[in-house]
Amino acid sequence: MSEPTVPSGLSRRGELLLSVEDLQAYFDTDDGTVKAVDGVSFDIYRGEVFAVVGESGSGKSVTATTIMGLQPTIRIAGGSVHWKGRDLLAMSEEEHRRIRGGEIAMIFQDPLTALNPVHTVGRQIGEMARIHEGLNHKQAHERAIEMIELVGIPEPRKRADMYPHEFSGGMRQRAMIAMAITCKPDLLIADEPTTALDVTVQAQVLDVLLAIKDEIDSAIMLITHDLGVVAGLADRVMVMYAGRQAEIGTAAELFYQTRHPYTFGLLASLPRLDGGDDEELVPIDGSPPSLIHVPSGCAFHPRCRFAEVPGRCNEERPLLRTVTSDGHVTACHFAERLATVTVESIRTGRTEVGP
Amino acid sequence: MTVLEPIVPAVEVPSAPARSLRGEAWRRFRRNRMAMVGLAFLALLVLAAVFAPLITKYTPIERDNSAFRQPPSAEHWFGTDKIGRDVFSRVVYGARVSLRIGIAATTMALVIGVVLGAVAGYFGGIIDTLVMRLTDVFLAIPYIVLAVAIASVAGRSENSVIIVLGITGWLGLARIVRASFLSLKQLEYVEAAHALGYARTRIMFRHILPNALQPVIVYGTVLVGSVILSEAALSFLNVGPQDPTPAWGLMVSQGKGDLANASHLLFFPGGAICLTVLALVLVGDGLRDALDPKLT
Repeated sequence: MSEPTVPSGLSRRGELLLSVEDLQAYFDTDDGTVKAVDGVSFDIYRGEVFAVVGESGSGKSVTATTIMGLQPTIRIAGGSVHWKGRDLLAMSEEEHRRIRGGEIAMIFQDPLTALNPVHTVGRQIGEMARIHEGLNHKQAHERAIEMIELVGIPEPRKRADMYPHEFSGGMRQRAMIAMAITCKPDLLIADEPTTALDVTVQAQVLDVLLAIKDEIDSAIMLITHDLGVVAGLADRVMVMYAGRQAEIGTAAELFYQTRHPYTFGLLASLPRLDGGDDEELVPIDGSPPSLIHVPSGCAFHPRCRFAEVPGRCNEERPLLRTVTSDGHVTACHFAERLATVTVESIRTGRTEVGP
Repeated sequence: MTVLEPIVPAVEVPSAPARSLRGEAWRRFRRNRMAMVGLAFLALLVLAAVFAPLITKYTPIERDNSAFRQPPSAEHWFGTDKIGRDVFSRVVYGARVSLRIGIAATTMALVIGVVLGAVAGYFGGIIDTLVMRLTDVFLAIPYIVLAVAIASVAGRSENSVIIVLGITGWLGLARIVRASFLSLKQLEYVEAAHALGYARTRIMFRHILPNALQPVIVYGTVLVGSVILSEAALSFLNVGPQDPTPAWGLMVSQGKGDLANASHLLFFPGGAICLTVLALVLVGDGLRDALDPKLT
């Protein structure tokens, strides 16, 4: 490889928390088997922000909810999920329930609907501590106030007695975060935590999330389709397409040493502040494939501008392989050819690839 | 633990005092005049039932051997019946019987209906099918036949009426609660509750049920009225409480032969039944409007 190796941060990694190996999670429907997650492997270490990026239907949310055991209708066709060395998929519902909320907590996309309208915010936050730590009502209320203050909501004592509809969107998302971190989980799964918020509030909520992560020394699995959020926040990124992994690497590797055409597609469709007035955004042609009839070979080949069809791309499913550094893996037959391609060259239409 | 600087400026706190959900519902309820009339009548009825000995001159079983089938007078406000008992006392004490049966049977129906409906709607699948077929079985049994059967086994008493009306009254409730659960369990806050590691029973009864209560409260209120009506029907058919219990339906039944010469024997207990049921329906209507802001 000709380019310099980007430090992947391996040496700074903390304790291994979550280890997913070749996870295959399918939904059986009348129309056929939906391969929502099809052979996904990744690790999450304490202290890092691990982002999962992809279009709607790429399997990123299903991956998270499967880990959480929140998909009652899903069939685990293969693979394993280990949490601190324990097999999550083999656990009893009761054991799994104790881990949920206590050790792994989840923040949902829409704070409008993820808070129960009939209970006060303080009660909902305190309930976590009552269930997982056995606090009484009064202690739980105090803990709730402490948490509300921690996520930066003013007048916590007054706010604790209010109902969700009396909160603004950003404050509701903060309340959700407060609820998720009440028992100081080791892993926070945030499923599109800022999608429902307006842009100015997004930044505030993300700041809170990052500060909390350091405060309670946890890891964050950030599910998003917003590469802007990823660029500012993530240590490592996993790009998913059609339930499969396209590319994993540090944020810098993915943005500057891209080795998968789909990642390029995402980057080229992203507007940039430093782009010229006449800069055109390049959409990815076509639409995501049906997860029942996934294209043969590489799932992305029908939309890929670099694909050799007929050829390896539509005949052989690409395996994940290491490219620029130990932690940078991609699932593309022609990853090496992409070394000369840049987002600019895609935008200007000069997409000849290397040998 | 260090505390993050509040990033949202403090001015975002609304200056208007926040109204509680209950306060808001009560404010809307008060605007409904008919519902308030119904509520006032029910309040009077409850007071009369509780303080019956203070507002009546006679006990309900006391006979005045000088006055049979007398029309209303200053001495006997609602007249006397064919064996000389004061109809006013019997109607007032009858409120105790009706309210007791109405509330007890409705409570029983509420518990059965809410639990079965919640379980069916929440778990779905085979459990749902079993519960729904059970309601079909109960729907197929006329409650009067059941009442006769139970009365012949357990005897004619207030308690057997409560049991009959309790185990036949929950069907509609179970269906309402099931329907609410089916839609509510899809909501994100239920998924969030799962994700936070809450137990299923807790999610069902602490997180979903409060959101499903609005139709239950309305239906429950109207159900009290319908139970009182059914109780009157059972008493009229002589499978309810027995003489000398001052049950309204029983009094109508005993007075039915005197429609021409002593119509007050039918009019007062019958009127009490009508007004009570009407008041309950009005309150139920008012509650529906007050609890569902979308309707107003």
